[in-house]
Amino acid sequence: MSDLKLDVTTPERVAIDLPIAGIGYRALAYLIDVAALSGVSLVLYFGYSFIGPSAVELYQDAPRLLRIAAFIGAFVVLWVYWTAMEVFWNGQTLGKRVMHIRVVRKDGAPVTAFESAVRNLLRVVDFMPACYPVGVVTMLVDRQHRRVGDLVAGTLLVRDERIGLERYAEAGPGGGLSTRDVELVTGYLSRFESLDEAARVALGRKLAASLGLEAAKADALTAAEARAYLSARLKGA
Amino acid sequence: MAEPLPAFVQRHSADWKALEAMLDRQRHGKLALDELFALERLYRKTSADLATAQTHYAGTDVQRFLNQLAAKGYGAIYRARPDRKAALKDFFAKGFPEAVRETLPYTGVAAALMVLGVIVGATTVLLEPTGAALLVPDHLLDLIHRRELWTDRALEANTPSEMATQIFTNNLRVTISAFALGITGGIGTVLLLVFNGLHLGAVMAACGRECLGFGLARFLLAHGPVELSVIAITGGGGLVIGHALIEPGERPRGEVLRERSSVAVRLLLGCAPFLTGIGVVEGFVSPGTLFWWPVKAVVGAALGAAFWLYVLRAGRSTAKR
Repeated sequence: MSDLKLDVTTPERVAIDLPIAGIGYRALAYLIDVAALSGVSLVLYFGYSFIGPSAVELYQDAPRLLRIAAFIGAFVVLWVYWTAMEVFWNGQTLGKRVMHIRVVRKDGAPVTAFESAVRNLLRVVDFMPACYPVGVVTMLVDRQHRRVGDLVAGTLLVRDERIGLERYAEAGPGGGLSTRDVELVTGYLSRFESLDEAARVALGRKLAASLGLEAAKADALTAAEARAYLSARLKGA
Repeated sequence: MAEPLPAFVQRHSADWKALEAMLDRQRHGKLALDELFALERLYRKTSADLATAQTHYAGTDVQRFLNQLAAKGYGAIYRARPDRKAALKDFFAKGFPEAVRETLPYTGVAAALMVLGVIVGATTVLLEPTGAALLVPDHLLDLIHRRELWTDRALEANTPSEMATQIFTNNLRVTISAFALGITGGIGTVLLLVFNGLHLGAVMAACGRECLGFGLARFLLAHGPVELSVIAITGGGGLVIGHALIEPGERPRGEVLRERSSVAVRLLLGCAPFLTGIGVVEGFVSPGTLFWWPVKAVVGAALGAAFWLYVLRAGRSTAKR
């Protein structure tokens, strides 16, 4: 997890920070998009070749104007795919949605159609001469991991973190635990199932001792006892 | 002393959940007016809670949760007006022509660089015919020596049409590259423009030596003026970016680059439909002898004049008001 944040101050004078998506997230999202697009084109191609003449032959026999049109058409379709998805799907394409990242303006607001069109047109530049060397170098150099298209359009990608409040459901309102202790104990309890036995015991004993249980008693706790003790303390016993 | 964390969560979490649900529905555009008021109220309350959490519960999941929620609400509430059609119309009525007028000196320099290339290429081939081997692609040279002009057969079967498609894609590539190479401080743009002119000049001279010059001129008449203008304008855009990198003046380089490149991008976006349109002319009108050459000349001159009239005049009167 990178600690890099985009700091935004809302008109309500409250500071929000958005975690910036690094090159790994971006590359994976791109690969997913490309896979989806290639999948669709393959299905269309074979579907068409099945009922009609071979699409490649058709292209080779087509008059020159049609071939230019096909060339431009393919470019425009791709451009419109990226742009329309980002504008209408809240800054996300298919791959970005899977990776939980989204495009935002540098002030944290959603992208406008113009900005999205610019950053996706300049995809061509980032791609040059093949497989994004320009974009990758720019992203490595830039502190906010932006490619050339992002720099020009004034956009960047942020991560959508999914944080729930379920872990606090167990806690009693009073309890007398400090904020730090509540955070530690709820963290331990919500992760209890996914820890292995040794860690459950070790962490549980440590936490119980830090909440004031005598050292001799704390060291004798089993995992289940530690859990019961900690959740009782959390409820305010 | 702040209230305990669990109490804070329990007291407010109903409001947060309500805001979350409302934002989900807002994304699908299904909110009534009174719901919008509620959304606004909940968003403000959540902002206040976030401020509280930043002070008293820093570093907890509650703070991170509220941060995420406030960011979502901020994005939903403070979004730009989605008036896309009007924006597009405004861009071609005003934004694009203004950008061209603003960067006219750069367009001039780009055009001059191309002309320089043409002159050098043409003189080289005229004075030293063997130089053509270096400057003109082999397959074109071959055709020229056979005294065939590929452009005359462009509407016929495969091989020449291959070439014509190549010419168009080549122009597209040159246009976009000349723009993009601005990021090299303009050096790449300058080289590309000169070399492109060099090739053009060399091909023209080689055709001229083999008495095909008139045929090539006939091919260029109809689409040449607009196409070369578009290349000069986008090349100028590349120079704008390059200039901002080399000489940002008093302000930070990144800031100037962003500001200038937004002008340059407007040039490229505005030119795109014209480049496409002129490709159609190049495909239909220019090749072969389907049209008598004076007709091509008139078409070319008219299109060129219309293009420049539009670029130089459009949106002017509104600017004065």
